[in-house]
Formats: sequence, C-alpha cells, structure tokens
Amino acid sequence: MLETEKQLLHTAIKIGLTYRFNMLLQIIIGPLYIAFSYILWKSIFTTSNLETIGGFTFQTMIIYIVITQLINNVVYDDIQHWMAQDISSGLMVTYLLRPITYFRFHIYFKIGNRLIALLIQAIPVGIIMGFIFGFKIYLTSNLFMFFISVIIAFIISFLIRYFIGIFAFWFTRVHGIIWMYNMLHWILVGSFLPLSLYPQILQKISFFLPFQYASYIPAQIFLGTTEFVGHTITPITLIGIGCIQIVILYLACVIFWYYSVKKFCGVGT
Amino acid sequence: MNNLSLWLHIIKMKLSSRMSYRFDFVSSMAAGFIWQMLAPLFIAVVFYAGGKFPGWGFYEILLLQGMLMTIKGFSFMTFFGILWNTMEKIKHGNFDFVLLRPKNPLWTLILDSFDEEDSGQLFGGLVILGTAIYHLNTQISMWIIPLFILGIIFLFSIALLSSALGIVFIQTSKVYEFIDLIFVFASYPKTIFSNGLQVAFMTILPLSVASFYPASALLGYSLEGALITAISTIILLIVSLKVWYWALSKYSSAGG
Repeated sequence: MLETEKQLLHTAIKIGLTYRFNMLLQIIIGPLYIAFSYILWKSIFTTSNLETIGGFTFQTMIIYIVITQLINNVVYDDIQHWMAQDISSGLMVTYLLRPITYFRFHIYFKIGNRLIALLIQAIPVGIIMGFIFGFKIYLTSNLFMFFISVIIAFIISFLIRYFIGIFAFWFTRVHGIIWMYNMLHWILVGSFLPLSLYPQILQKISFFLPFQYASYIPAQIFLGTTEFVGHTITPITLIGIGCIQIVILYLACVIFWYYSVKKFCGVGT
Repeated sequence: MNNLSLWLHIIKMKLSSRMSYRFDFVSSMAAGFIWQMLAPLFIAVVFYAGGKFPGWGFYEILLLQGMLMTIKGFSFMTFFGILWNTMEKIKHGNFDFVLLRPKNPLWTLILDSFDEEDSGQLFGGLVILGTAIYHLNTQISMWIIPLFILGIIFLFSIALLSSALGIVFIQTSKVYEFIDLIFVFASYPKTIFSNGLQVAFMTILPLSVASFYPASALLGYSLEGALITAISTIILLIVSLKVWYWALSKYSSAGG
C-alpha cells in the first residue's frame, strides 16, 4: 500500500478514536435497537399465533436483525453528506488540486473509519448479543461467502452514496435529494424489514436494484436462504450479481463525475 | 425588540435565505412529508404479512403514530433545532456569539431554531392523524390538548438534554440516533412492553405522553397512569433546564 493511503487510514482511525462519548453511544445504541426489535417481534409472533411471518420464524428473525445490525455497522457510509458539504462550501477546490482523486481519498478514509467501527461497534455488539442469545446464532455454513458478500456490501454502499453526492455539483444544496435517497435506501436495503415481507411486485423490483446487496443479501447468505422471489439462487450466483452491480455502479459514478465536475465553479470559496 | 417579533424576523430571514436554493427547499419539504407518510410502513407490512399487535388494530396504531408524528413535526419545526444548532455552533466556534448577545442564550438558540423545511413533517403527521381519525370512531376528549402540550414539553426536554451533551462532549452526532430510538420506542402501544418497561416509559423516560396517552384519549381508552406520566414530564423538564444551564457553565469554547 502506498504511503498516502496508509496515512489516510491512520487519520481516519485517529478521528474515530478522538470522540470517546460518541464511541460509548455507538456501543449502547446497537444493543438497544436489537432489544427493541426483540420485544416488538416477540409481541407480534405471540399475538398473531403464527409459526412464520414472511418465511421467518421468531428465531431466524432475531438472527436476521442481529446480523443486519452488525453489517450496517461495517458498511455504513456518509460520503454523500461530505461531498455535498465540500461542494457547497467550495472545499472541493482543495481536493481537486490534490495528487489523489476524491474517490480514492474517501474510499481509503472509509476503510479506516469502518475498521474502527468494526472494533468499537460491531465486535462489542456482536459479543453482547452472543451472551444474550447464545453464540450459536453465529453458526453458518456459508461463512466464507458471507464475508465476500459483506465486502461487496461495503463497496456498493459507498458507490451508491458517492453517486448521490455528485448531484451537489448540479444543485449545490442537495439536502432534499439526500433525504429522499435515505428513505429509498431505508426501505429497499432490508435492514428495516426483511424484503421477503413485502408484496411480490416490490420484491421483484428490488431484486434488480443494488440496494439489497448492501444488507439483505449478505444476511440471507448468512442464514442459508436460497429462495428469492420464487427462484432458487445459490450464494455464488448472488456474489456474481453483486460484482456486476459494482461494475455498473462504478462506471455510472465515473461517467456522472466526469460530466458533473465541469459544472463546479468553486462557489463558497 | 420583543421575543415574538424577533422570532418572526428570524423566520422571515431564514425563508429568504432558503429561497436562494428553491429546489432544495421544495425537495426537503417534500422529503419531510414523504418521510412522515412512510412512518406506518412497518405496521402496514406486518399486517399485510398476517402479523398482529396486542389489543391494537391497524388504524389505532396509525392514530398513535400520527399523534407522535404531529408532535414531532411541530417540535422539529419550532425548537428542536437547538440540538443541531448547538453542535454546529460549537464545532465552528460560533457558540461564543450566542453567549455575547443581549438575550438569554437558551432563548437565542430557540429563536434561531425555526426549521422551515420541517413544516413538511408537521403536515405529514397531520395527514396520518386525519386518515386514522377518518377510519375510527374517535371522540373529543378534554385531555387531548393538555396531553399534546405535555408531549411537546417531553420533546423539548429531550432536545435540551441532547444540547447539554453537545456542550459538554462537543462531538455527539450519535445522539441523533439515540433520539431516533426514542421515537421508535414511542411509535408502538405500550402494551407490547413488559410491566417494568411500561413503568419506565411513564416515569424515568415518559415517552408515553407523546403518543400512547394522546391516542388513548381520542380512542376513549383508559388513561390510567397518565397523571404520573404528566408529573414525570414536568420533572423531566425542570431537570433538563438545570442540566442545560449546568452544561453551559462548563462550556470552555471549542472549534473555530
């Protein structure tokens, strides 16, 4: 790895470790959210008197929630906000003058930032959940495929948000666009609700979109699910589709950036 | 200039400034409205998949969530901005100016917290509330206005406590997620929680006052425990004010 990239990782880690109160909150919020989901789903399953809802038993629903929570900690990204801020404040000028592209700068920054999140969020939350629900919830026959799918989720999550951030070149202030994107992401990524609970038509549409690869698909690979919208799809095929999504998204980002950066006139500097 | 005319003046200035980016203003308002309309998505999907909630049907929960969203929308539009105002001002070193102005610093922050785009959230909450009322046999209750005001007081206390954390710990962006979690807990009838948690949500963190009790009043359900929740909300407000002024006394300037 080059010295610049090493320094970026180092800086991201140092920033992550500076604000300890934020770190403490991060460790508390995850288990509290899972605890709430546990109470909610326990109540729904008990009242409904159903064995499964949307193909999930109560046990698999809890595992799904824990796993998606851990995945979200690792793949979380805020690049669209940073990008919008850099463009509207004019700070983008300093990035364009640097001997490293904006894309590379932020992907390495994200790796450093998420490494810290893995250490102070995902691992502690995972251990706490292991003690509460038993460490057997982490048993899966697809561990290798799951790790690959999380890496894909990490990249896809970055690329989608990077693409959204580029809109700031056109509109300068994109708070509304980001908010609308966040809503779409929230619904289609599958961390709010497993997509198998949605109506068939919505499941079919979301299957062709990249969002579900950022959370739902890795969690389903972990659970060993092979049934998607009425078709049997193996984990290796899902990984392949995820890779194609990465290529398409990357090309979309490169092309969109190429045409959009010409609109930038350093407003705010 | 009195507080009301100052507030109106600030609103006018903020609207003028926001109109510089009309597309963003309109899209933000639309996003706030749609965001509120999506709030009942979870219960809609669960009911669609055959799930049920103890003692509450779809429109009853919709009424509860509509009430919460309306209180939230009003609060976010008028004063909740003290939270991000505090954090942003401290981060950029502008909080010192708040202290130098010839007004009480808390008043200054509240007056400066009007968020015009959150009117979309308020409108969305009212639409959800109206839809639920249309489908239910609700009744006019004398308790609804006091409970609505208490719900706003509860959110004001939460905003104050979060702002105090921002003053003491500087970078507290994760507080937003914590507040979201409070809204998630408040979005469902308290009957889903254990007795211990129900008591906690009436006393230590009286979030029932912002959703469960106002909805129960409209539905004609029992308001047992509402008085304790109301008293707890007033105590929380007093504690929050004391904590905020204590945090302010610890402020040592940062950022810039």
